[in-house]
Amino acid sequence: MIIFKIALRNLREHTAKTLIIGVLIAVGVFFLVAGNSFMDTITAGMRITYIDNYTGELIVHGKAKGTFSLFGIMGPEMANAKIPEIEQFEQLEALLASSELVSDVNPLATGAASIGIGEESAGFSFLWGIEPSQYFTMFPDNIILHEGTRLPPGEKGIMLSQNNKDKIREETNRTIHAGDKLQLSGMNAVSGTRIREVTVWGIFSYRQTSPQLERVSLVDIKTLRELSGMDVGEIEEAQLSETEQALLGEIEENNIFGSSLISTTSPQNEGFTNFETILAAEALEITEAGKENNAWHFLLLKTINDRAATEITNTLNDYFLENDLDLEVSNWRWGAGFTADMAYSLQIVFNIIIIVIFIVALIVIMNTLVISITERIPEIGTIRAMGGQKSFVRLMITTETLVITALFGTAGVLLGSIFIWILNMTGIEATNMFFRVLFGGDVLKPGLSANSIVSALAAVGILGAAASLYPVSVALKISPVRAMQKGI
Amino acid sequence: MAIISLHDVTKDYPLGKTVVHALKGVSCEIQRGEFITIAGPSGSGKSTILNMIGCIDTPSSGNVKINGTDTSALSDKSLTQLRHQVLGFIFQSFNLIPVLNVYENIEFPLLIGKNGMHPSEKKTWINTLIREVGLDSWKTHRPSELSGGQRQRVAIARALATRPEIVLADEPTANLDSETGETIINLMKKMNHEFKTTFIFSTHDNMIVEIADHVIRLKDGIITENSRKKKTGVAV
Repeated sequence: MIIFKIALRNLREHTAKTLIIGVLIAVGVFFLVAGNSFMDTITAGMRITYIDNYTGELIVHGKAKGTFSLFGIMGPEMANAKIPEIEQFEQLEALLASSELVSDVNPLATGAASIGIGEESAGFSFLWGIEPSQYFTMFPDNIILHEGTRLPPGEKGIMLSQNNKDKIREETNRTIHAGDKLQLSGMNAVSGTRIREVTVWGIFSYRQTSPQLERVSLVDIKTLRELSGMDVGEIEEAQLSETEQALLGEIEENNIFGSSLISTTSPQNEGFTNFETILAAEALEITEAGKENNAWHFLLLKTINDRAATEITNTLNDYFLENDLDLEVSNWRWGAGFTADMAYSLQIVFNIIIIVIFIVALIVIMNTLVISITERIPEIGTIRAMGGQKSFVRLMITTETLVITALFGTAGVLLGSIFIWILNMTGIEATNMFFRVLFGGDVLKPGLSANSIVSALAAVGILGAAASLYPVSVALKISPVRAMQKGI
Repeated sequence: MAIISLHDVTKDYPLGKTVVHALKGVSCEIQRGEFITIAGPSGSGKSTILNMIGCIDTPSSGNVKINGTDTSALSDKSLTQLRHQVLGFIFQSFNLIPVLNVYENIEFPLLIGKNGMHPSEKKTWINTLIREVGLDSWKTHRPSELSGGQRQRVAIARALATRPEIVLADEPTANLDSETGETIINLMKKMNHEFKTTFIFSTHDNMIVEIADHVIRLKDGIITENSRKKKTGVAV
């Protein structure tokens, strides 16, 4: 009690020093609370959005060199690399579906294609190959359908994103509607260029979107496999209409490898004079298993809770090791790719800045306290002479530091909270693409996070304790004989 | 048995490349309940000898015994405990805690270490001390609001708060005018009689020396006189 009394009165007596230290602490805490609340809002929103609507908690995928995510391969490897397919997919899916810890399982494959209308180029789209019944069971409410219907199970076709529709209009001046047909051209290192004509089943937007997501359209998995060369293996003759048969003529196996096809003439000379003919030729489907190709890039999992996610991750990693599978489990952040990376990188940069501010604050506070101790040598000497143990002196100095950090730390928390509350009321508008990616939309309404308050108070507590270490050591070296040497 | 005994105590202070010999083999004994002054000019070693007795400094050689305990054998913690339980201090510059009022300053020694006093007993005792030093109406005042004489009264009451066996006063009248100084010494004498506490104070004022029962005179770190008045003892 007497220690608190001395601490509070000393702080009041030495107003200038108290303010120097206090303002530094309050400003640091203000930035910590406001900054972390801001970042927490972004990451928490992003986490829930992605887990609920796009990635699930966990993603099983193959191992590969280079950076890839649900949005495909990023970086210099983009042109040539191939995302690995999941080995032993059926066993794995069955295993996970039977787990009580897993609430939902959904396979996904990723790719990209150029869009064409007739012979006119109409832009580019990222594609997610889905099995509609499974995809919309796991993510029942992640899209807003502007027209048409969802992709029906077992049907071929595309659900075009509103963004892709807009881009097509910009490129070709044509407006795509449900029921129209588009040509998708996929290029990959395995099978070269593939072109598929698909029906537009619907036009949609993702509920919570980002520039990355906006460009993703949904296609049936068979089409995606064909476009991205995931079906290379056994050659299967396509079912062609009579007209197509007539156009192509009878193709004998011997003729394929016969000298007649090795010709210096261009395809146009051979009669491949229109786009439909090329499509027909491409219709020679190549599948791995003949009837049912189960090539997928990802297996998205929703678990019953966070703890289950950890447990499933550990179980799966053991399973992969035991069965010599070249697979791994990643969390939603991995799947979200660039968007999540950017948000988390920003948080790291922010925390580095805060750490630097705190180191500077630590040095300033420490020096101010040392000066204060030096001025109080006779007082401390007197306490020691009167029988105050070193522990009492230590407690007295530490209490003074902690009182000041607690008082001004609380002030910083209050200021930061008020600031966040104001931002929440007004909202922060994303003025450019960078902020749109970060905010996951046009406006961010940050909320005060308990984590930011707790971490700010913990940081300020550590700061206070650390800042008092050296001054305490100086105080403890003061001999009681110093009480005799100079008056108070 | 003497409450304090010094045996061949020396104290050397390094001063640059030379060594200052503050005490050169001092030996003496102080009896319980004495009102004793250590007199001598500046630099004679008065404060040094008080520091040794007060266990706030250690001799370079020789030993100091308090109640028969050799203080050189004690750890810092034990010495601090000894100071808290056995000794009270009155400083030349009063050394009151500036942020505490009169009552709190007197109470302070009771709060920094263990004592067996019940809170109500403690309150009564502090109020008794305040009344004894004549500061009843100044209880809630801070040191900065008091005169030098009043501050030294607070310091006397504070020194007695833990009911020590020995009170050490380092030139308690040095910062006071002669009239106030005399009042303070008389107050100390009164406390010595009332509480049977051993008072040891240093001074270079011969007028004050006359009030003491036992006088130890120092010059250049050596005792030149160690005498007791006849009513309390035999002159040495």
